[in-house]
Amino acid sequence: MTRIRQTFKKSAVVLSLTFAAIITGCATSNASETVAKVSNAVETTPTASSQTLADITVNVTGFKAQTGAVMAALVDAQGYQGGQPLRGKRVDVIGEAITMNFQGLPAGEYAVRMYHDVNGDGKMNSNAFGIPTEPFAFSNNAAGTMGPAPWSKAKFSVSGEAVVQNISF
Amino acid sequence: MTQFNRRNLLKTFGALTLASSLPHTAFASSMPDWHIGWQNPKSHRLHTGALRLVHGALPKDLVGRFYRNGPGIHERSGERLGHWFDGDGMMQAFHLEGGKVSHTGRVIETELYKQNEKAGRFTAGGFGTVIDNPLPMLGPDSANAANTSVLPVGGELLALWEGGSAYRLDPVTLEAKGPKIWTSELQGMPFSAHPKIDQKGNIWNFGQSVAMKALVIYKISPTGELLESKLIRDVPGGMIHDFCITDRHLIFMASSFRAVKHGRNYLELFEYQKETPQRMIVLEMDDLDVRKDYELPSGFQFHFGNAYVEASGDICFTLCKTHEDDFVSRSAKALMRGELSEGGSTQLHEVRLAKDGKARIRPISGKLATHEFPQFNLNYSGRRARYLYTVGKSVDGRPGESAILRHDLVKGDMAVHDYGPTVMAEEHLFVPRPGGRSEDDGWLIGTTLDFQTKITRLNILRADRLSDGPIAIFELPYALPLGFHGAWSGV
Repeated sequence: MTRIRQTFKKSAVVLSLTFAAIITGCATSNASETVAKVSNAVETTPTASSQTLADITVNVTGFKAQTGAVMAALVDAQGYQGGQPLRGKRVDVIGEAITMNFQGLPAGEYAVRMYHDVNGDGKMNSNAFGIPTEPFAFSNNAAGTMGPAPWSKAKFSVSGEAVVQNISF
Repeated sequence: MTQFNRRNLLKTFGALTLASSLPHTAFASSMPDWHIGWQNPKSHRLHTGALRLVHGALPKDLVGRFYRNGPGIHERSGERLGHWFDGDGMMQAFHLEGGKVSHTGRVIETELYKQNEKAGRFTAGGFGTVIDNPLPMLGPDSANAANTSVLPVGGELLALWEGGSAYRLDPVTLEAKGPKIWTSELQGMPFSAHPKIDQKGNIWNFGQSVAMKALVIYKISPTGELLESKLIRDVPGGMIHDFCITDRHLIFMASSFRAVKHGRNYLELFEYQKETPQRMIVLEMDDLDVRKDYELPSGFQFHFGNAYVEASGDICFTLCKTHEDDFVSRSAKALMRGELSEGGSTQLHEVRLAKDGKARIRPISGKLATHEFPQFNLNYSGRRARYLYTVGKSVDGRPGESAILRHDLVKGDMAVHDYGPTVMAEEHLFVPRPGGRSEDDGWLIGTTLDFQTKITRLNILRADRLSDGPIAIFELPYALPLGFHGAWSGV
């Protein structure tokens, strides 16, 4: 048997998307970090308000494997830049498509970011250069250049009416 | 403008819808005849059972497969890529046996290629092209064109790029089987285009992250199993394309072409810094934690020749030094537009790393300008080799080189075979003759593109009688786009 000697210090792994991070100027706030915060999010009940509240339905497709779960976060502008998500969801990947709902949201601008936790370990995995090895996606199917999509592309408005987001990995 | 001139032009006139209906030939006909080297092949898949022998005969003991890789698809729906290094990779395989040669060519079905084909346009500019409306890129492999080199190992053929995973291909059909995943932790890590084979048959390679200022080192067994991998930090973010090995060292040269800017593609991150020295990092094969750094005046190079340790303990190696970043930043874009650009020539240099920590570099080029694609007898890998083979000799008014050269590094002289002014010579590999008795007992095998007859040829020369010219020439019934690097897989 061949012994594989692999010397990577886990703690030293910098979450940088090699050239990606520099391209988007997001060396510290990169996709994997942004999306990974999902797991810390807590489902909260909306407080009573005189505003008309609306629901967001997110349909997710394009799974490369029928394993694990989708970890999704609903965020506002602040949350998108690395703050706490407003809501978090974990939905097992079963079948070609899954649906998740975020209910009772006041009017405002939101974005959804998600990753497919293919191996179900609850983390967004990355390699030794910090490049994500699990698929990630953003609302509006927004794309960055080798990194997270900018807020301006991922955001959508909610104002009393139900909103549907179709996101494909 | 460096990218998609035609499209930008059409846009200006509000006629973008015309773009997809423009035949490629309308564009090609306005180009100089040499531009055929940077145009698409006649088909994404090519096969010719028996190439026409037009000169000499194939040696009986030269049996095996000669592979070559390079950018194949430079143009889609009337759009041209802005940089030579960005086209979808196309693997060429020449099968030599029984006096005959067959050819199979196939564009490598990477995720990027499939995405480009589906969209009917280019969707990512990995190295040096700016794409107007790119599709989502999750990581470097989203832009992986697998278009630079090739490594046959473990019953597979790996198509190599510089910024991402190697791509696995069937060695006969050339069908792509997805990215090579060495381990989950190495998934998607860059695996560069110039792996080196040491005296034990182990394969060494690296990948670079200019953002992390780090290298990943790979050690792979002769049968293709990963033996070792390691992250090396504190490596300045100077572009590193190739490296060299002695029988006990790995030598990396972080060039003065440094990643210091933001950009829309990889190339745009870099700036040539005239005042920044090149940093050499020498690692010991047996213990990658043992490192010694050296410095040389500013410079940039793509390719290295062989390296060895002298009796004195000095490390010596050869390299092809370019003039600053002229070629990568300007010439390689101009060629795509059918234009010539000044200053893209490279010169052969020898570097000596002395035990006292001093490094010296000196030119050893002869009179012929430009030497590139250095090769040598790989049985001498890491040991002192007398001969180095390059393409060389530039010709006024056209790009590329017309000759294959043999440099005698002991005598300092040179043997030349010039293919002629309408021929562009590509990398020639040295293939040792089975049972060969001396370092130069073997053949040089390489392709040439004749832009006058629009034909690619496969040439075989005796390395010890290079000036006599080819001993066998086979003609393809078509032109292949100019490629980069090859590998020989004997039987």
